[in-house]
Amino acid sequence: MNGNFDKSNKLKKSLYYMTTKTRVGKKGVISDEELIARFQKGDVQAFDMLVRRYKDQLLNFVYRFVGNQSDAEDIVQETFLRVYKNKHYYKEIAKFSTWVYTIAGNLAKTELRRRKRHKIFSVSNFVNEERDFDIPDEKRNPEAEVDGTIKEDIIQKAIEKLPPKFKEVIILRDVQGFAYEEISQILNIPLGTVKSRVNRGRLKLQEDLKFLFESETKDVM
Amino acid sequence: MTECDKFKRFFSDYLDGEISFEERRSLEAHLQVCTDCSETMRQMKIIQESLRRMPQVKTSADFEQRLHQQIFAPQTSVQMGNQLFQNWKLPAMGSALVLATVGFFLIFGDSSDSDSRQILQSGGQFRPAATQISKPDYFQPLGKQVQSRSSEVSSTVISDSSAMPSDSIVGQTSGIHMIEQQVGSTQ
Repeated sequence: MNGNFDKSNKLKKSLYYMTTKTRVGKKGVISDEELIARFQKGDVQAFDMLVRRYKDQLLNFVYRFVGNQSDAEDIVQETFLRVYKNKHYYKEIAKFSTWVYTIAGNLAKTELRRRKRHKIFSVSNFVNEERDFDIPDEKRNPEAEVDGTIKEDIIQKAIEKLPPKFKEVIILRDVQGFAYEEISQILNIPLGTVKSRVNRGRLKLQEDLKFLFESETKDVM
Repeated sequence: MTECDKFKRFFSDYLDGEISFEERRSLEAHLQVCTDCSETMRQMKIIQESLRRMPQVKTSADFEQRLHQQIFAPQTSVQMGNQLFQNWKLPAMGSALVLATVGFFLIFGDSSDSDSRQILQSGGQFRPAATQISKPDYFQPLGKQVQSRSSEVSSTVISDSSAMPSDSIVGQTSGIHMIEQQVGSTQ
């Protein structure tokens, strides 16, 4: 059973990386590094191509981080603005994706700190949080009521509740599909620390979401 | 540390298929006898799959247009400044108000020479308010914002850390890491 499990896991993983990574080199496609090099020489169209290539990826990363699409979009705008203004700081020894994700990650963390300082908790967020983490009523049928959208909402809230150091690695690894080495470069932390944080983050998520997946787990197995 | 805790350290490696043969054999043997760990592992697997299937959000249709507007925003503000300068009414009204205030104190105030000189020499009450306000924190680059919030922090972050992550890439201090450390030190 475990052999099959590993094989299908590896296959899914490779398919996942192939389909979700625009940065994977393809013949005939201009690489990110080539585009940023052109932009550094003054080709603004190259910048526009990078924006089109990364805007949705970055939005998904930041959205999972801050939990608000409008704020996330503002952060992605600011990320590209900084890329534009600081293009000469990029050095070719690193991947463009690493650089741009580092900028976006910094800005997302700054936004979270700002919220913490100002203690901005909207009424709607508070209500959602209470609703999401209520203990499920035994009389209801969870399978009927916990549909996909609600489940996604609950998972998103659980991600947001993770401590930042776990949240960033979980988003980069499990939502965005980055390799451990790339996460290590983006966050500038040792590979072992990345792996340890991913493990602890996954265990924390499992602990927080066990009520949601208990019945599903039994069904699957 | 319980036996389960020891094995839990390898759960992610097992899920990612990045575990040695010996560790894997040992972990699988434990999973067969430990219901709790087995259940945890199964749920972690489902959560991992759910995270990969999370719906993708898309940027709004005018994202690039708004970005271009932001990029050229400094030019717009200069233009706005010129327009304000060209509009003579605002500066004229301001000047008239200042002159009227000065005149009021000179004519109706205490006419003793020493007091008048004091008022004129002090100049503090006539100084435009803007010159007394320090530069807001949000005008500072990201790295400096953090630095200014913490007097205890060593001054390793000199410039905008988020704008220059290449520094971290070439082996220097990472923006994210540094800020994390700095904020941690303030708490």
